[in-house]
Order: sequence, then C-alpha cells, then structure tokens
Amino acid sequence: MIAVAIDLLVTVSPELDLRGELAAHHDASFAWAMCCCRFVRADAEDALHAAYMRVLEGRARFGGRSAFRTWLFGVIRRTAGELHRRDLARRILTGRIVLDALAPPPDELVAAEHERARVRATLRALSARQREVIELVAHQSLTLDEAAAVLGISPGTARTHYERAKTALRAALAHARNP
Amino acid sequence: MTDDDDDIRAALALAHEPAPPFDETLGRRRRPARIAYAVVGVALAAAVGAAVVVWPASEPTAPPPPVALDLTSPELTKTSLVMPLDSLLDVPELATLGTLPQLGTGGLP
Repeated sequence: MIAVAIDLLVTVSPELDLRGELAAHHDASFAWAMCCCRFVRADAEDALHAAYMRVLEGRARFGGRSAFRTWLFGVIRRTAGELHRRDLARRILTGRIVLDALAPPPDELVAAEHERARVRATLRALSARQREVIELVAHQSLTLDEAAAVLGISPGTARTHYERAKTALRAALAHARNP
Repeated sequence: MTDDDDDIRAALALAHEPAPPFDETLGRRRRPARIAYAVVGVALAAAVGAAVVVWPASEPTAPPPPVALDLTSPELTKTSLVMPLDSLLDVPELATLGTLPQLGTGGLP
C-alpha cells in the first residue's frame, strides 16, 4: 500500500521522468504489446513505439488516477487496437487480406520454435478479453482489479474471463500434449 | 492467482520472448504504412470505374441506314391481321361440335 502511495506521488509530480518510467516498465510493456498484437512481434514493436511517442509527446497524459503501469498498459492497448484497425482497413483496401490468407503459415510454425508457436496458437484461439486478462494476471502479476482497470471492465467480468481463460488454456494445452 | 496456476504461468512465459532494448523501440522507424499500396488500389478502382462509365458513352453510334419503303409491297397492302394469340381462342373440333350426331350409323356399339 505504501509503495502504491509513493508510486502515485511520484507519478503525479510535474517532474515525472516519463522516459525513465517507460524504460522501467519496458519489458512488461513489450510483453503486453505482444499480447495485444496477437503475438506478432513487428506489430507489437510498432504499437509500443507509437504508444511511447504518445506519452512522450503529451498526446496521452497520465492523470494519476491509477498506477503508472496500469495507465500505460491502457495506452498501449488502445494504440495497438487503433493500429490493428488501420492495418486491417489497408489490407482490405489493397486486397492483401486475400493474399495473406493464401500465404503459407509463418516460419515459426515449421521452425525450431514449435513449442512456443503452439502455445501462441492456443492463446490466439482464446477471445481477446480472455487472452488479455490472463496475460495481465498470470504473466504481469496484476490483480484482477488492476486488470479490470486496464481493460475498462468490472472486476467481476474480469474474474469470469480469467477463469474461462484458464479452463480453455488448460484444455487446449492438454489436448496438444495428448491429441 | 494461486500456486496451482504454475502451469498457466509457465505456458505464458513460454509464449513470450525477450523485449528489444528500450532505445531501439523508442527510435524505431515504423514500417512503411503501405500507403503506396492504398493509393495504387484506389487509383486502380477509380480507373476501372471511370472506364465503365465512359466506355458506353464514348462508343460511336452509327446512324441506322435509311430504309426504302415500297408502298406496293404485300406486307403494306394487307388488310386482315391475324393476332398471334388468336389461336388460343380456337375451340378444338368446333366443326364436329356444330353438327348433330348421326346415331346408329356410326361405328359405336
């Protein structure tokens, strides 16, 4: 609790070192961006860069109503969503969506990273909400309340998504081990 | 989150990979936005649309050749017309139905 209070005092102060804060949360932010971008690394790097630019250029302002990380995760999620929608529109407009559908599977499915690819495919098969909640709680160690704040949903809804995600993930992993 | 969720944690950890350096992400130049593709696509669609609209309008329409009328031809001197659907009004065997039957002289038993 004291740590949270100190964190809030630090983050709302005008001298907040935004760059330092971003650097401190960088690893977690990248993992979160990967989750938001369905584990497509190039998309995640684009989204993270755009989110950092928003923060540093003042287009996204931290109001101190939550922990910095919770707020930053929200910015990353919105940015990733906007980039995804923009990219989807371009792909439809240019017909690339058809070409991508006809393209062979990505290298990771046939390369040495088979296990990672399998887990990622399992995570992609979850709904976006389930994937996001389980990433925030199980991998980022956020509480359900914090995860709910990032996603803009109620804690009860977050809990429901979390339990369903765990069940679905366990079933998929068990099925993959013993098909 | 409980200790029973170690398998979930392990699976999620496996799905992730190390982050690139912070400065690299910050100084990242975004991939080409594929605007060129979009522009080409829009231009192509506009060109096809314009071609579809303009083609029929610009196609030269030759005036029909003059027809010489022969006022003495049989088609123009006909006075009785047979409409194409008149045959539907014909009653089959109307001539037979208009006469009295000759009973006893026919081949019926």
